[in-house]
Order: sequence, then structure tokens, then C-alpha cells
Amino acid sequence: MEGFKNFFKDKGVGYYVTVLATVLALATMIVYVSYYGHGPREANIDCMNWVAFYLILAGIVLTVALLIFNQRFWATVSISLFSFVSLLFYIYGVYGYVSVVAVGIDLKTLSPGFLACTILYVLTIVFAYASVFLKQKKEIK
Amino acid sequence: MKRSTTVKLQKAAVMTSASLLGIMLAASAILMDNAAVISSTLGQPTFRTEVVGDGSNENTDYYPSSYKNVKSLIQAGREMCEETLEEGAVLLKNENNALPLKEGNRKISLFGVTSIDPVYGGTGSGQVDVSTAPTLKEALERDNLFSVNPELWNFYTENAALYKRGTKRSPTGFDTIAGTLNGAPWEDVYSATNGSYATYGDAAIVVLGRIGGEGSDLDIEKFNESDPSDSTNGDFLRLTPKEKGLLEGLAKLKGKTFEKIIVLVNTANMISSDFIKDPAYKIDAALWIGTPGQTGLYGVADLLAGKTTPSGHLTDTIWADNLQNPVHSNLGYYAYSGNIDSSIASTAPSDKPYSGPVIIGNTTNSGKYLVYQEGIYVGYRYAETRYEDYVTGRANTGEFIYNDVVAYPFGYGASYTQFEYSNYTVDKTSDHIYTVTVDVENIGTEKGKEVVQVYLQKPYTPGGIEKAAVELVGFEKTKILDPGEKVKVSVEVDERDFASYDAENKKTYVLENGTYYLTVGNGAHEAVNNVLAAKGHSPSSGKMDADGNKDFVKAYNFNLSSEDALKYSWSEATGKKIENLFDFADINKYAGRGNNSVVYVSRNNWEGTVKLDRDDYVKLEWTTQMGKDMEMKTPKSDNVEYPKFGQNSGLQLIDMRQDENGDEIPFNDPLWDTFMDQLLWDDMVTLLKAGARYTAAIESVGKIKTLDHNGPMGLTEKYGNCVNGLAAKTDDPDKNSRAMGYPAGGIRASSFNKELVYNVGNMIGEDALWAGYSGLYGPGSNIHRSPYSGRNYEYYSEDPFLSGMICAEEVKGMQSHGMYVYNKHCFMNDQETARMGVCTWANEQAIREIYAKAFAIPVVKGDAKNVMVGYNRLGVVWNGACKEMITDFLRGECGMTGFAITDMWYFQTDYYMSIIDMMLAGCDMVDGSASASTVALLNECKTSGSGELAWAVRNSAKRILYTVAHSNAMNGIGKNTRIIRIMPLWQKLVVVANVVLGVLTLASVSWTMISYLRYKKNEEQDRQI
Repeated sequence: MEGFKNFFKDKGVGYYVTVLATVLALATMIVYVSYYGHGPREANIDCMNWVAFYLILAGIVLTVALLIFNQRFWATVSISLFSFVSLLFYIYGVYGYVSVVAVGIDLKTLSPGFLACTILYVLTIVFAYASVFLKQKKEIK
Repeated sequence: MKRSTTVKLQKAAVMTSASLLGIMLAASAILMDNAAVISSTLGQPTFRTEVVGDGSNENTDYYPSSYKNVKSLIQAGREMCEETLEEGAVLLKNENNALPLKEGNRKISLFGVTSIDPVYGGTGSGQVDVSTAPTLKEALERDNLFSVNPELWNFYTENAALYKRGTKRSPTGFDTIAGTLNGAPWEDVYSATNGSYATYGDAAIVVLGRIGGEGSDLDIEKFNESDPSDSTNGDFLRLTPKEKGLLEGLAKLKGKTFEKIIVLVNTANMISSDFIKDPAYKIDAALWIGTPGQTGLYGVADLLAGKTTPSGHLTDTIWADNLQNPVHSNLGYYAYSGNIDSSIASTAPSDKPYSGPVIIGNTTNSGKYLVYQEGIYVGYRYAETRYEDYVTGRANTGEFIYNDVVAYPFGYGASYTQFEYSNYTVDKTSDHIYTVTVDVENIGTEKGKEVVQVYLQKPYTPGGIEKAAVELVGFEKTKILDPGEKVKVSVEVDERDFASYDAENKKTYVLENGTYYLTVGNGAHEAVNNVLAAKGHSPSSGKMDADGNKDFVKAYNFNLSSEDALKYSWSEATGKKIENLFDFADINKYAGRGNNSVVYVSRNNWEGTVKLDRDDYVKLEWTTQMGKDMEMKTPKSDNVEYPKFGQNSGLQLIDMRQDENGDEIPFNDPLWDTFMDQLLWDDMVTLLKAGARYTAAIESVGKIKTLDHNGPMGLTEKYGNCVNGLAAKTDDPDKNSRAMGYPAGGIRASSFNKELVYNVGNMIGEDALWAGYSGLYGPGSNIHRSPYSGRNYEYYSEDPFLSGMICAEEVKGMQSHGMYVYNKHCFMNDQETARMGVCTWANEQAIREIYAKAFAIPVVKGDAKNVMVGYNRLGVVWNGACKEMITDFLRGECGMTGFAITDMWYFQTDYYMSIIDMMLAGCDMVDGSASASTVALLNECKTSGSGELAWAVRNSAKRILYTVAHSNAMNGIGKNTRIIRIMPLWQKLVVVANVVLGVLTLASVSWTMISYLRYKKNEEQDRQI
């Protein structure tokens, strides 16, 4: 119990936000591959970009490792960098689908799966970026 | 500044600039993938031309315009659209001389929400711009022709949000444009406006409308119990409860408040029309106006007022009940039974150089199919044939009360006047031409035009080749005839149209022995009744619904030798022997069919083969061979010698137009080989792999980038969009105006006026010159197999002869100004549902006599240059990969000289479209962007590998270049003109943005690092101190 309390004694808000960003990244990855990982969905469009998937996976693994080894600043850099670059590849993978919806002939609305993936990506990056600015270490008075 | 603040600022600077840079780089990748389309859309040139040396003596206006400016062109287009509607609208019913509405009796009330929201065209790529289109009220009140009830008009317009038609989403994920039909309940309309009816009671005009469009078909039934559709039983093409209430309410006022009830049917998708003759609704007159285009409503006004007499004739059968049409038991999409995924997993080859086989599965349309079980019995070919068999007592016909099934037959059209035919003769005027001659006299009181339609009956043997009771084989339209005026009309009929396609035995076109009947009539039904009369039948039998006139029938008995029977088994265009090409598209003959089979509709057994229940669709199961046959090809090494590349001989594309005598250089001239030897592999692949509304520039041979656009209704783009266009070149003051959108294909065809549609095509060709386009994604030649098909407004008819002949004339007009057409969507893309990849199955006779014929005639008679292949599959073969269709049929038999383009190739079609397959089949260009993986595969053949594929690439490039060389794209290009590539402005902005953000990012990172190093140095110094 003492060890448990000591674990949280010096953790600043930024640490928890980093952890939250990592969890969100994990959720994003799972939703993305579950929804898009088995082939084309709406209008036969294949939106799965495997580079995006592996980047976010790599980011999660590296971030967890850095947190374990107490490299908290570099953990925030890791989750921010990998999730952002993963987002760019995700956008490259889905822009065709979005353009088909925008044209409005074959599709007129965005699917729940797409919305879920996109919202999770955005949340991941918002919290990852925030973690860079927030204190990782609690100031002990 | 405190260190902590500085650090925060540095973090913010680095993260912001790096994020923006990342976004810009990703955006750049996306933009450059679609660079050509973006440049076209923004109207930013990617090249400029420069005259080197003295080009002053060259006349480079190869295709001049007849117009001086955009204003005069627009005016001409508006008048043409109006005239087209006037000639194409069909008067279905006119009792008690309800129409025309004479002067003094033109205070009218417009009912129905469509009256304020007319269906001008359709949705999707062929839609028209309606920003300058008149409302129906404006059209009717032009020149004070009519006076429209303002209170009623205001009721609808002020409550438009409440009553206008809407859209809904279907469970399949494809939004339907069917949706909620809506409308205003009669009680609401009556209570709000009935006080105005007496003043505007000369006529109640009810406007009924339905809209169709690309991407989805109209609902034929409810998807499920929660379907919010407000139609009757989910059927979009049946009167809604509100429409029935409106008609019932008006019927009660007839004779008290309103003198007459007139219905305008404003749709290209025919509604079940038993209601028009229903005495309960007391409808006096009904006029079908299709979709009128931008200014066609003015034509409607002129027709209602009698300034013009209706002279259109139906291009489709109007069914009393659409569900009596047997095609509807096989309409939509059906999933193969069986386990599709595992069959693919077990057959996926391991030597594929790219990732994964074609994705099939139940999430894509590869696992979906449609069977044309009706065979040749489409539209009137079914209704008239079964009627004749019922009258003659053929076995297994069952009861067939024609007037219960058909409301208005194919070819039917009424008029404000009457015409009398006399002196009907038929003479064989050459070895294959029959000239049908008849005197036509206007015996009525109004002037008008008449259409002489010639129909043919071929001899039918039970159990033999399927044949319709009658087929349209010729038509001509008179000039305007004054009352009492008589003219002699001659129609030439080609004996080639007497032949039928024998897919089972002779496997070609045959002339069977027996009696052939040629007749004339106001539509197919009158023609059948004439033939029945000639055979001795009459209404006294209780089965025939009207008298026929045997004086308008000429019979020919054929007793041919076996050799003569095959005289039309050779192509008239190329002389090629015609043989079965499409057995693979017939599920009964497809080698990989497994246990699948279909019983096609047969005249020998109507009762046993006609299915009217939607649950009786043809059920097919998946076979492993289907999956194998769907796999994309990989290039195979062969010993075919490669073509030459990069052999510069100084020839430019302009040099390939004409020889020194001014004659066209033939496609197979050796000079074309010398020209093509100059091109690099990359030049050709650039041309083929991406052609979304353009063909790429090849500077080395002086080929400029050319532009194409949609669609069958006309160009509809802004005249000033493209620098190539006359409007931009002359900086015309009206260059921001849009080109004309014409009435539906059905209206143009229902005019039966070849000269008129040629003139429409001519206007579209002029629009292309002024707007800077060389190609049109149109006309549309798919068949009106079903009225529920979303894109029917873009196509002409259920009859391939009418469709083909009208299309041929329109094509001639368009191409007279150097425009090239892409006739679409070749072929059997007759519905929108599952169009991307659905397996379409039909027998060869139906393919040849109906669906392919509609595309063949425009090539043979009109020299239609190019086609756009359909999204669908023939059998399991994607149209773009179908060598039999493109190379063997279109080129080999029809003599098509241009090139074939895919339908829009984008992300949703990557899973089944392959550039390798299409090259080998003779399909030449991608409308869109081919997937990177297949282009990479193609490029592996650049220097070695498949010589066959390399030649296919070269031949495709040649066809494109040949077509462009003889187009308006060469206007302004002389022998001294050079093409210089330039970077469009948007690309320059992208480069600048990337550079600026890169510099900012570098600066932020540098600042951060330098600051950190300084901090560390100071910290070290402080520690030492």
C-alpha cells in the first residue's frame, strides 16, 4: 500500500494526461483496425492504412517503455509525435472516402466507424499535445 | 524572460510549426495525387503554347464556331431547349378538347408541390444548372400567356420547407434520392386556398413529379418495417396517398369550380399510370413532359396554350402497374449464396507480386449479381408479344388483358389535330432496302407534325429463336402540316433489321424463312393490331382490344437458301464475321457456372417463365471458378518484340492530322508508327493511368492537355472555365454564364425528330468550343430496362433501335465541331444499385439485340468516337477488362475508331479495376487515378517482360492521340506551335507553403536547441563558480 502511495506521490497532472493519451491511442488503434482492417466497407473503399496502424502501435509501445524508465518528457514527445504522424497517414487513407461523401452521389453521410476513429484520433492528439506542456512531476513542498 | 516561460514558448513554436508542416506535407501528397483534376477544376492551365518562327500564315481554326459571342450562343441554346421540349412532350390523353387552353380561358390553378419545385433534370454527374431556369409560373406567365393563381402559388412556396420532397438513407448505406415524396395534404391546400379557385378556375393543372439520379435507384418497395417512406407500399413510382387525395378532391370540384383537370407528368421515371384513365379522378388531359432542362418549361406553356401542337411519341411503355413488367422480378441486387470468402482464401495464389487477391466477400459487389431473366422481352417487346399470343390463342400464354397491363404503349402519342394515312406502299428499292411510303394528311383543325413509325414482325417458330411481335425498324417526322395539308412520307428500312440473333445453333444473325410483316402505326400496339387484322383477327374474338387496319400491312414471304439466310452474319461496318462473343455472360453457358442455371422468359411458355413476384428472382450460388475468373491478371513474360521508344523523328501531333494533300492520315498509316516510336514509355503511361475529365499533355510531340466533362444533358459548365475555350480567349463578357442543360434523353428521343436532335448535338458542340472542352461524357445509351433506374433521365428509351438512331444523330451534331463523345455506360449498366462490380448475366441474343445494339448504332451510323465502359461486370468480367466487348465487338464489328475510358475510377473501385486487365482488353484510359499498385505492376514491363502488354499500352496511347489529333483541341495549334509545361498557381502556392513552414520549423527547432545549449552552458558555468 505504501509503495502504491509512493508511486503516485511525485506524479504531476502531465503524467496522468500522458497516460490518458496513451490509452486513447490504444483505443484508436483498436477501433481503427476493427472497423477497417478487414477490407473495404462503405462504397467498397479501402480506408485501412497499415502504416498509420503500425505507427500508433509503435508510439504506444515506446511511450509505455519510456514511462516505465521514468523518461516522462520523452514519453510525451513519443506519444505526440507518433500519434500525429499516424494521423497524417490515416488522413491519407480516408481522404478518398471523405471526398466520395462530399460529392454526395454514392454516399451522403459519414459512417459511425469513421466518426469514431477520427474523434479518437483527435482526442489522442489533443491530450498528447497537452501533456507536453503540463508538469510531469509534482512539486513536493 | 523566465526560463520556464521560454521553454513553453519554444515547445509551442516547435509543435505548431512542425504540426503545420506535417499537415502541409500530407496535404501536398494528396493534392499531387490529384493534381490534374485540381488544375482542371480550378481552371488553371498546366501548359502554354508558343509559336516558334513565323506562324502567321497558318489557319489553325480547324473547327470554327458559327456564333460571334456567348450571348448569341446562350440565346440559341435557350430556344433549342424550349423547342426540344415542345417536340418531345407526349400528349397522353385529351378528352373534351380540354387542351389547348384557348385565349380567354387561361386563368389557371397549379396544384402539387412539384409545381413550385419542378424536376428540371436529375442528380449526379448529369445534373443541369437551374439557376437561370424559369419557375413554372414564370414560364406560363411569359408574355402574359397565362394567369396563375397567386394565392395557391404562394401557399406552396411559403410552405415549401414543409411539403417539398426529401431524401432518406437506405439500410444498404447508399442514400436513395427516392426518400420521402412528401407533398401537401389536400385538406391543407383546400382550406387555405379554396377561395381563389373560382377566379382561376379555367383549369386545375396538377404537376406530378419524381426525381432520379446517379448512384441509386428509385425504391420499388419498402426496405423494412421502419422505412420512413411515405409512398404507397414503398413504391416510389405509384401515386402517394396525398396525391390520390389531391386528385380526389379536385374531382369533386370538377364542373363546379374547375372546368378542366389537366395532369403534367414531370419525370423521366414513368409512374404506374392506371390513374390517368381512372374515371374517379375525372382527368381531362395528361401531358408527359419528362425532365425539361433549363428552359423547357417555356415549351410546356406553349403546348398548353396551343401555340405548338404536341407531336411527341412515347419512348417507353407506360405500365398501368409497373409491377406487371417482368423485369422487376430481377431488379436490384442479389447476393450469391454460398461461402464466398473461404473460396477466395483457398484459391488465392501465392505468387502475386502485389498484396492480396481481388477482395470479394460480402462487403463488396463482386458477391452480388443480377440476371436479365426476361431475355429480349423488355418493355413493349413483352407486352405486345404476349398480347398477340393471347389474341391468336398460342398455348401457355394465359390470360393477358392488355389494357390492364399497359396504360400507354410504346410509340403512342396524341395530338390537337388528327392525321389520316393513305396510299401505303412498300417497295424493295435495293438489295437490302425496303422503302415504306405513306401519304399523311392533316384532317384536323390545328397545324402539327406527325411521326410515321414503321414496325416489323418476324416469323416465330415455337421453341425457336425468341422474337417480339413487332419491332421498330424506321421512323420519320413530317414538317408542320397545316389543316388540310398532305405529304408523302418515305421511310427506308434495312433488311439487316429483319435478321434475328441465333445464339444457340448458328451463333450469328440469321434470316429465318416465313412471313415478315411491315406496318405503320401510332405506336407498337396499333402496329400489332394492324398485323393481327392482316392475319384475320378482329375484336369480335373478345380478345383483341381494337380494330387493326390490314391496308397498312405489307407481307413478305422469305424462302431462303441456307447461304442467304446468313447474309447478315457479317458486320456492315467492318466485314468481320459475327459469332457468339458473350457466352461467358450467360449463366447457362458460363464455364464456371457449377449448378447454376436460369430459365429465360420464352414466348413458347409465357405462363411458366414469366415471373412477376419479386421473391421469384433468379437464385445463384457462388462457385470457386467465379473467384478465379475475377482475379486480376499479372503480366506474363513472352517473346513478343517490344515496340520502339524515344526514336525522335521530329513529328508533332499537328503533323498527323492531314497529309500534304489535305487528306486525313489513316490510323494504320506507317507514319503513325513513326510518330508513336517517338514516345517514351512514361509519356504513354501518363496518358493512360489518369484521365479524370482530361487527357494529359505530352509536350515532346506537341499534344496539349484536353478537357472533358459531363454529361448527356449538355456540358452545363461555365464558358470561361478553360483557357482553351473561345470565351476565355476572347474574354467574352458573358463567360461566367453556364452552358445549356437540355431535356431528358427520353424527351429528345420522343421527338422522333432526327434533325432536331442533330441540332441539339450541334449546340452542345458549339458550347464545347466556347467553353474549351474537347470531350463529353455522354450521350447515355443504356436501356430503360426499368423505370426505377435512377439515371433514366440520361438515357433514351427501352428500344435499342430508337435509342441508337437518335443517339447517332446527336453524336453527328456534337462531333461536327470537333468534339468527341464518350457514349456511356457500355453496356448493361442499366441500374445504379450495386453498379460498381455487380455481376450482370444475360443471354447473347438479349445482349446483341437490345443492350449492345444501342451502342452499336451510334458507332456505325454516327461514328461515335469513344465509349465509357460501365462499372458493372458482364458475367464475372468487369466491362473495362472485357476484350470481347471492347476489341471484338465495338472495334471489330462496329468499327469504333476512338478509345475506351473507364467509368470514374476512384477509391471505391480499386478493389476490382485493374490497369493490366484493361490494357489487355483494349480499354485505353482511366477516368480517375489507377491504384498505385497496378501502375507499379504496369511499369515493371517498361523495358522487359510482357511484349503483349507493352504493345497494348502503345496502341491505347495511339488511339487517344489519333482521336485528339482530329478534335477541336487542335484549334490554334499550328506546325510552329510548341507546348510548354507550366506549374499552375495552386502548385506554386503549395510549394511556397511547404518552404515557409519548413523554414519556420527549422527556425523553431534551432531556437530551442541553441537556447537549451546556452542554458546548459550557463548552468555549467554557474556550477563551476
